[in-house]
Amino acid sequence: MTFSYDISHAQIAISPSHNAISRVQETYSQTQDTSSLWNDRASIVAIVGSPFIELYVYPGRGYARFHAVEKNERIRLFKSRTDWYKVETQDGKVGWVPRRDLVNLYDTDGYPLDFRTPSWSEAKDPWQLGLMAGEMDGATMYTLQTGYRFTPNISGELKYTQAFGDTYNTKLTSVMLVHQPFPHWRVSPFFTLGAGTMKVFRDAVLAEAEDEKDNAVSVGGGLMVYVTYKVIARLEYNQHTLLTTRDNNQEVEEWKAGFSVLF
Amino acid sequence: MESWIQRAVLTLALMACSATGLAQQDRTVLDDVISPDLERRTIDEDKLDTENLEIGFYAGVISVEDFGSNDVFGARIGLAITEDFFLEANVASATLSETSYEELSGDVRLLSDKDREMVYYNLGLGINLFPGEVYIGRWAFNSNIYLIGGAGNTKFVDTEFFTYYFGGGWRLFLTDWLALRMDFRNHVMEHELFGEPKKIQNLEGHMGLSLFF
Repeated sequence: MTFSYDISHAQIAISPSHNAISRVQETYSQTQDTSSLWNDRASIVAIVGSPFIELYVYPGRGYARFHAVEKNERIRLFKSRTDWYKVETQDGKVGWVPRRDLVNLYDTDGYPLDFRTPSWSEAKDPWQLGLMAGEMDGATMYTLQTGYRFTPNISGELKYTQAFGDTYNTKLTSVMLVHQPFPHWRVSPFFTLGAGTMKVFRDAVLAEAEDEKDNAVSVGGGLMVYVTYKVIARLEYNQHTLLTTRDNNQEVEEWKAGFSVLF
Repeated sequence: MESWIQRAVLTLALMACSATGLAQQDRTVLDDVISPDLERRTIDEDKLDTENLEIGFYAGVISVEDFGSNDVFGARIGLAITEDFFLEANVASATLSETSYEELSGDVRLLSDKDREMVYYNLGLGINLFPGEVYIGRWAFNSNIYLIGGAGNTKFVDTEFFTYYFGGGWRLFLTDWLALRMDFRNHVMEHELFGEPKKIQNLEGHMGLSLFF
């Protein structure tokens, strides 16, 4: 182990001389059988600290395990899918390891690496993408939404909602400002303030059928529940005021539930 | 001259090499003796290539109640949330064929050609249930069976209908980043095209290829 470490440093130290490098690399690859990928910037080289780590053929706990990497062996992590990492061993075996098996991993200087699975309170990804379904003015509706967190308290959201009534069809596109007064609570209340455009398409069967397009302002609120550091469940209420060209503005209420994924 | 430089460089290299070697050895010995509570180093995971997105195309057959079985062509984009769950958005189109009534009555046409163009889009949540391996000759391929359900919108006869769907499918991973997919889904919606409100079940079967990146 120590030998290979020294050699790799020697490579750096003697970089001015080409002959020397190639000779050292030759010895290195003969003893270690590794490629230059081990020095690739897009990978993490680490030393196994647990008694052993099992390699799986595919990222998922149900797939077959085909190899065990022993303590003090080096592995190179170079790809991830969800909580799984694709690793290469020094003798060239390639497989997948779950994050939970990497808690005893050290870097090449001997320092432990932080591979703990974050808890819900460590959710830090700023983007979210979600789907919600519910009821708007008695009609079934769904919302597709994406958001970006500017500060722990303030996010911006873009929503596309479509409601399917018996005789009409509504499409609402809105931009919302979301305020979470207690972002560190697992069940965290929020308030929204938004503006958008609502289009109503009426069924042509009706005599006075006429499509409408109005601006809308909305207020609302709800609850976000952090399921994991990646997933949020949401319950939301919104009241939209349609700024119509008629004498009275129209109010539309909306209830919905759904989830968002952080990334 | 050259060999002199080479010798000098090599000597320097050897010195650097033994120095780092000693330093390393010192720390290892110390580590063993006092085993200090070292702070965990944060890892820069962003430099690893992530492969959580899936993009794919598919072709198949969708049976639209009253409008026969029709070719359907679609595209999908997916996001793996955990090893168990994934999100998937689909867009597909089909051209509806004639109803039995239209066929039997000869000249009667209930819908124009434009009204027969059907497009659906939806977003669903899937769960990977049964991981497995498939052996073909001397090769072994990974696979999984999943269930999926979601909601969206179906447009035909110039009207949009709320549609929910549920179904399942099978992925056969040819490589890490390429998979063959086979899906069966039921799209349920309600329309009033023939007067009375009618809930229709539209079965779809399709095959496609997906890329992960």
